Amino acid sequence: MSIFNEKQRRKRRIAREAATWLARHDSGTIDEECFHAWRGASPEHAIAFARALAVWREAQSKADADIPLPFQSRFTRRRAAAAIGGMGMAGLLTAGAFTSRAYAWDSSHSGVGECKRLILPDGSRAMLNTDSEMQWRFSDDERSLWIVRGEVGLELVPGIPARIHGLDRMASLSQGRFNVRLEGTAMDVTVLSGKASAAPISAPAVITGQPATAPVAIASPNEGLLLSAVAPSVRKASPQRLAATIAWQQGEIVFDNEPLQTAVREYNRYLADKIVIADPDLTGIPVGGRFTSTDPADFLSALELGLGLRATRSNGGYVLTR
Amino acid sequence: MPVSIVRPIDIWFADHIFPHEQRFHAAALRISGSRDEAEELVQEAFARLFELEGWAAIEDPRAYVVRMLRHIAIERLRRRRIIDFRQFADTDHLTLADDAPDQHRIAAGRERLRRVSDLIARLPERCRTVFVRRRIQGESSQEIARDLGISQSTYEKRLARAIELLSRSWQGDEDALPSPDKQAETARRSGGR
Repeated sequence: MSIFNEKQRRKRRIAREAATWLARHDSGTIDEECFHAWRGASPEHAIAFARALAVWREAQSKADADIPLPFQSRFTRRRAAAAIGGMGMAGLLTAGAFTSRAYAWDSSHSGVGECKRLILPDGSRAMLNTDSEMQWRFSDDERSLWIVRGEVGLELVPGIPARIHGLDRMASLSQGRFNVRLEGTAMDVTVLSGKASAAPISAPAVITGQPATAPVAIASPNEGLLLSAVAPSVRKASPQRLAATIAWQQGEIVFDNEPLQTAVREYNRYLADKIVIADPDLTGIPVGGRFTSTDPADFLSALELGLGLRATRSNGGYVLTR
Repeated sequence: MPVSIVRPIDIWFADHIFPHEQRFHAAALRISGSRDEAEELVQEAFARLFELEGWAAIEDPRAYVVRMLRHIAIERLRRRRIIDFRQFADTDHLTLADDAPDQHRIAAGRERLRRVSDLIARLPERCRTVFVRRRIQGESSQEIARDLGISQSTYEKRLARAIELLSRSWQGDEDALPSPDKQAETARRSGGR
């Protein structure tokens, strides 16, 4: 145990040194000779410096994505709008007077295979599916939610329209029941009751005062609102989709004539020990059925009995072969 | 020719290697079966990459690193003269998974590839202010220090601390920037200090 701590301390020390060098480099106060000596002293130093640089670069490329603002003041909002043309990451700043708790975002997340129930400040309910994270901020004139990762079921009580953000998209939700899911670069809102509408992607109305020109997409019950890189779209939710959104909240997972690879990928969201399809030929086999999301045993034995596949335990996961 | 502070290979690492670090750890864990061993495999792979002359010619850096992990693991096994056929058999299975095209890849689940923006939001206030103003808003270090009424050296320390916490957290160090949930849990465990 003490060896581990030793290693941890060493890693952290090196990370701190690398960060210091990067900060000096950015500030123009770096002593080049000293730096080269430090970096050359060990491959760990070179790796740590590159890692600090990577996170530095990563911060820049995300500069124009909207993110939750832990503290926000009217002053910084206007400045941010001017600087970036939107409510960008600059909102992360605090500016003294407005650091009250009331402006803070709350958050909750669920582990892999965990399902978590929450009650939101206005009495609305949220349910986090496996490996998901949501943040929210409620006040008298605001109901904002942010889906950071995964999938969330919402039951909203009547009130002012709630806004749910995901990536750089936003949807407005009325009272009702919804299932919101982040998938790759899209946010998918399934409406079970109530209505969901999309804000147009370029929404400079706040800044320029011009009304949004694109028509706003609105989804009604049993419809899905998809917010992706292209214009938001509304489509009928398939019975399968609806069944799936209800199923997960009951600890179940439902497949209806889907390729094995899709089913496995979906199942793996819930499992710490992943299922691997070893034989590429198997990936397209259609599968269906209803299974417990937390234990793949039934699913795997259904595959064995029904399709003649073999599921073997391997290094903590499961491998599917013919 | 003087070696620059930020070299092409550093940029390459930032763009093509570090974003996949968690996947490499997962692969190394499957190959080696132990967290400590996995950590060493990944570190060794990175160290070798830095020394590699032809790094720029690598077509698929991610696949290359995974293959490298396997080679290093086998090297180490040989050195220790441990022959465990089950281990080799398992890696064969996983060869298919690792080399398979993207749609076969296990997504979601345990992937901890957090967005840096989420992590920035968790920085302690003073570090965050300095980091955001410098990196996102692009103000000069002098402007920021002057405006906040701190010395250049204090400014640098705060910026360094922000970078350190972000980079540790991004790598998977859970203690660097704990989520509010975890903070609450820690507070509860220590008697609500």
